[in-house]
Amino acid sequence: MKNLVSLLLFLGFSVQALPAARLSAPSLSRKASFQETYNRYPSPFGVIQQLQHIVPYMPLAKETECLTVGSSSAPAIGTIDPLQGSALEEEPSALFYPYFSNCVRSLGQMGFYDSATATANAQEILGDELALELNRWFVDDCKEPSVRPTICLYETDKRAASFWYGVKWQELPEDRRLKLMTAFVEYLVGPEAVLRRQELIGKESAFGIELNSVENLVKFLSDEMEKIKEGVSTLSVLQVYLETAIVLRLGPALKN
Amino acid sequence: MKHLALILTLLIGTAVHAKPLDPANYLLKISERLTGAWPKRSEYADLEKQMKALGCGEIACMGDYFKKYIEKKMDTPAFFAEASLKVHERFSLQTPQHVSFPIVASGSTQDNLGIESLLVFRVLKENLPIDDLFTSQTQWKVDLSELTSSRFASLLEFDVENVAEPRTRNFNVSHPALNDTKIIETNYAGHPNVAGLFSSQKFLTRYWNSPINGNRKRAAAVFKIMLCDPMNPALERLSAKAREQALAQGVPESTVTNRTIEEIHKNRHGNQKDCAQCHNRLDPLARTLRPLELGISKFASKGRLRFYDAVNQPVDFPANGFHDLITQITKQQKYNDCQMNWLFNWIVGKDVNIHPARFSELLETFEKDGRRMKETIASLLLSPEFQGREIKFETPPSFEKARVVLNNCYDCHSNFLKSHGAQLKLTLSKISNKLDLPNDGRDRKMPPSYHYWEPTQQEVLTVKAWISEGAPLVAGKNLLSPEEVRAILGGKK
Repeated sequence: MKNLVSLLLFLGFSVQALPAARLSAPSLSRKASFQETYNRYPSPFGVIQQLQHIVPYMPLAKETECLTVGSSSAPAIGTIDPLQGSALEEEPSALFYPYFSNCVRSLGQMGFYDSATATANAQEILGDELALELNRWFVDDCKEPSVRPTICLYETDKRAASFWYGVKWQELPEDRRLKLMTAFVEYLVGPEAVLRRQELIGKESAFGIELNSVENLVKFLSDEMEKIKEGVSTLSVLQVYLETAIVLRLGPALKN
Repeated sequence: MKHLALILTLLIGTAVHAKPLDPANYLLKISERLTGAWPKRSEYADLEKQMKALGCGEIACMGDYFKKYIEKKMDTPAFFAEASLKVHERFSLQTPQHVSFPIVASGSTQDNLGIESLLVFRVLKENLPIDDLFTSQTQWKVDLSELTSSRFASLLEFDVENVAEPRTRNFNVSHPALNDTKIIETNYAGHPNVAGLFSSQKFLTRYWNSPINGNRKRAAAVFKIMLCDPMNPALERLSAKAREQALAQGVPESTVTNRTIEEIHKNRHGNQKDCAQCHNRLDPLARTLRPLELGISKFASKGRLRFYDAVNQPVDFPANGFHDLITQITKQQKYNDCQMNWLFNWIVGKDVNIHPARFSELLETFEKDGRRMKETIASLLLSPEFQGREIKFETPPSFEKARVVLNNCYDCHSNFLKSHGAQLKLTLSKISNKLDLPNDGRDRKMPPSYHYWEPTQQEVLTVKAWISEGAPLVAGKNLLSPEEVRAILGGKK
């Protein structure tokens, strides 16, 4: 369990700041306790599938090391070559944690690099309804010249990508933050029943505090993400999505 | 009284675990197990819609919905990829590095095409018996003639030398996993040595033969994969330090050696009792593999499947050619047990507790349904065990006690209680012999003297008491008849 704590510390340092204390609470490690008999360690294929779900569209997917079982990934996710070893059957090594989070971050950068891919990913992650609403935000915000945010400087077709990269989580109005975080949680984990079974919500949640509803979890995550800083600056919308994916999926990813 | 026991069994049989899965988590578990990925937003939304329409919040009242969901998931490229990976693992064969979609014929994943994956695909797609993985004489390969790159052609060649007029046909397979690929089907019906994955280049390369191992490596793989017989070497080659440690722990010197294989082969191998335990089975089987030494010859070599019958006596099944031998193995009960164990461990999990009587039920269904791989996977996904529920049986106290004693054996042996009735009878006969139950364990051969567990006489008598009762797994249902008990316990109770 020390591994997970190290991971969370690693996550914090990798964005040059510690995440909020409650996100690194040791109690989060309960999610990776590997005790439930119906859960399995993922096959290398399973790990890759999980990464692909987090960032479903990637133009250069085939070229990345994160989607290949090779010498660089084998120590972390096992191997599919039985001559060299076998797929993970026991708790993965400590290398898995930095591997998983680094891959989520690097795939995320790729998936939102160009506008077309960013739009496709946004639609998948946010759902049709919220993806449409996102476009309406751009239109509405850019109507009024006096309060035009930076994003309006971009051409219309480039706003989708620039929204994820360029807009800071902290800059968004709270209602939008909550809408986005709700969509992230729903996409990354699932409905309330799944959140509850994975102890992400409950009287004693994996975060060590009482989070009795999806709304509570969403508010908690949104607020915590707001506090994380990268250097002197706060996180972008994309960074928040990716860090949320790491926090929410790391434990379950290990218990396929 | 018998009726009462039956009613009790049925009533208790419906009892469930404290925390069974709810529909959403069940959906997640199915998706993860079959494809490695978790469900999409639309799948959860569809489930919720269905739950509302049916006014139902439990798995039990949504059976049809989940059946359809499983069917749909089992027709996705990701499922075939996962299944192909599992089969490769089972055969200890190397799989391609790009595992995203091993059988998709597009982009840079072309190097993932292989006759092994295509055989798995065909067995699942056409709902064929699992036996076809081992015995199939129909081979699919992708027609690469239209592809610009010839780089992949060599990977797919299946060199069958001197094949007597194989029949071929070309056709398109319209399936997302194959991307409407043109397939060449070659039929080697009647060939004495073509037998599913065992005659693939990958298998023959992985289990190479040499003048010293003389196909025994391949024979051991056949025993391991088809019969779950580990075929561990009797003489382990140890380093000097490991040898010292083993001797210090009381391991008999005859089983510890630091000599080279060549030395063993020259001086002692074949004459030693320990070696003979495996070699009396490996050698006759390896003889049928001779025509596979250089390519695959059309000539058959006669060999034997040496096995044990219900009274623990070796029996030979003569086989004319490798295909015949593999077919003989598929007729063995232990083969059936082994395959079901593999599927159970893959889908439900090897650490999931299952009552031997329930496992026996699964085995019967598996056999009755023609050992169809796809169908069995689907039924395991719908089983209470997968849903986190446990079917409870009224277990006789004598079995409960004996089970605790026998648990000590699983350090080295597989869980032999997870087997079919006939196989279990054979195992009990072996246990009786090894623990010397007829003489209350006075001259027992197991566990070995260096093993940490030393059964007390009381423990030996506990096992004997259970067998003498007729080895009931469920109250009121004896596994052994009084005659069988007498045969196993040597006429003494």
